[in-house]
Amino acid sequence: MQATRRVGGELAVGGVLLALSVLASDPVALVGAAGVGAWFLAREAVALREFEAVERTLSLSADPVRKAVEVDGDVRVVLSVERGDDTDATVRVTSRAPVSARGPSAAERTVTLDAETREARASITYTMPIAGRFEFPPPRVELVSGDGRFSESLELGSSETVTVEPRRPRRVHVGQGGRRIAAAFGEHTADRGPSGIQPSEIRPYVPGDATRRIDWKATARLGDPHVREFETETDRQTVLVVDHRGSMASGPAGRTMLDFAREVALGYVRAAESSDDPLGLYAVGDEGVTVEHYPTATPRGYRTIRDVLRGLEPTEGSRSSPTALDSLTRPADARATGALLANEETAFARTVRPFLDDPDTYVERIEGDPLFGAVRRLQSEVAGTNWTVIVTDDRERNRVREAVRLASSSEDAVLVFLTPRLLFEEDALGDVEASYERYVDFEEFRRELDRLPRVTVFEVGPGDRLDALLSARRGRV
Amino acid sequence: MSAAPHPSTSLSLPGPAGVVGHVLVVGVFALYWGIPGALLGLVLVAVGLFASPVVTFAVGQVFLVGLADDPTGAQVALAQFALAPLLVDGVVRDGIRRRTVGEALVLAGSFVALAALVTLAVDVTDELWQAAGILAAVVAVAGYGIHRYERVSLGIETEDTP
Repeated sequence: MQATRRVGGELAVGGVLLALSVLASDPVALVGAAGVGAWFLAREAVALREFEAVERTLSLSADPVRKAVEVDGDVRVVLSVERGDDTDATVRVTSRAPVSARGPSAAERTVTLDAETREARASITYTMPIAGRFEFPPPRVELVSGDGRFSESLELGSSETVTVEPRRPRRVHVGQGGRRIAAAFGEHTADRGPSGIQPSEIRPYVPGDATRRIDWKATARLGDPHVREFETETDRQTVLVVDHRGSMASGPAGRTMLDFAREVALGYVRAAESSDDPLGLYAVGDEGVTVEHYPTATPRGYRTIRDVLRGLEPTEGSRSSPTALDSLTRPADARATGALLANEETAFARTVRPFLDDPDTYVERIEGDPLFGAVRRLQSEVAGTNWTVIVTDDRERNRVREAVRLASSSEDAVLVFLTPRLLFEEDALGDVEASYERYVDFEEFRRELDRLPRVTVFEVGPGDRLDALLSARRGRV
Repeated sequence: MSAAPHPSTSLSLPGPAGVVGHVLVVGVFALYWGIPGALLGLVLVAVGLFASPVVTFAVGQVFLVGLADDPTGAQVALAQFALAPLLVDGVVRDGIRRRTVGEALVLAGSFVALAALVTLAVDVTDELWQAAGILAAVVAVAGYGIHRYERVSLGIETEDTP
């Protein structure tokens, strides 16, 4: 309970009477001070009674009309307040939203019920600019005593969770050489039951759960029915390596490389969840691994991975310097160039030759590549991986090649999903011939990777653009 | 938060309890201290038109200190009995829908209890400053106790609250 300045003034009056009684050696003023003290305590007790009455009878709800929206979508919260007390207290209820939400000012999010008002409703609209799962905290209730001397602030009601989905690109093409693959990626035949025997987590019982899954000890301990989840035992586990470096920001809003990469990764989460496959995640930013999730087959684990994927944003880094990153020369190419310059005695040859002769440079730069580092890390941390799924772009081909090679070196199956950069460029279809040449070049790179043992490579991108490119090319031939 | 508007700076007529209080004050002051007492009682009526009930009550106490050189217990008790309705008037005037009778009784009860405490403290300690300290401490502890009880009662403070 907070006292207002007005109470401070009244207590000061009491203090003056106390001082007067001591200075004047007169007990009469002390009795007066006792009167002011009694006034203060009586007012506080009355405020307490008012607040208790309001809290006991206040009925409020702040329910988002929609529990799932897309990024930049609106969430309308209907704030409804009704009081059943008969006190003079004023009740102010303020709807609250997650920090990332954009909404009206506090005054516009507040409904006020004075002594004469019994109920009020308000509709508040928030814009959700960031993807993820967000909790709308319970509304804040401010109580002000009828005489305005005391106030209190508390939370009433329950919090609500809203899921903000990233903008989902339409017509996601996943295929090879311009042809779509027929099966949904991540699907495979299940060879076991839906639940294992390794206990993993306890969660509240929900209608539909089999009664035999109720954990009676936990139920007795926690007071409500709880069921125990079991970790699925399977040796087919999948680890997603999702690239969200700055280069993945290419493309129009809602249709960036990362948006398409995310769709692929979310597809794997869905497939893994439906088959109860253990699924892990390594998210790769410009500075290295940003998120690391060890393979798990629990509902909470899938939910966490899905939330992480939805919230991935391109990291700051290499968006604007593709040439520097693309220029990493493989040792074999460097040796071939070195051989050409071996017999030349020009100043250029003398300057360049030491760089071409130094194989350490290539190794060091590959070692420092975030994608390569992520693959190396997962190989050292995750035992028994069966599928490694790498989702990245084709911008730094030599680095991608080395990362895929490393992934396939441990006898694991490797699936690579590449977003061809040319399909995300603004003027991709401006010069059809040049674009087609670049697509052929990409396809050659894809096939080269696809020829590596245990490696399967797919292209991922906007289907409409790819179709437009291929049909424009066919029209010219 | 913003406090409710209060008529402390503008003219505010006393309510029924205030009228009774002022009549009693003028009467008691005139009875014991003659014309000066009656005049100060009337001045207090004027103060009550502009000041809040607490300030009016405190000014009345100051007038009482000035008038009563060596008052008897009966004089003090009767004067306080006359001044108390001025505080009660504040309760009545603040209320819109409240049961003001109950609140007035709470106030009166608290006043009697604290006045008794002061009397006892003066008797026991024989030092006014010590009695003043005891009064201040009791009011502070009681106020803080109500505050803590309120936070527990409303569920703001729980066992998990650090």
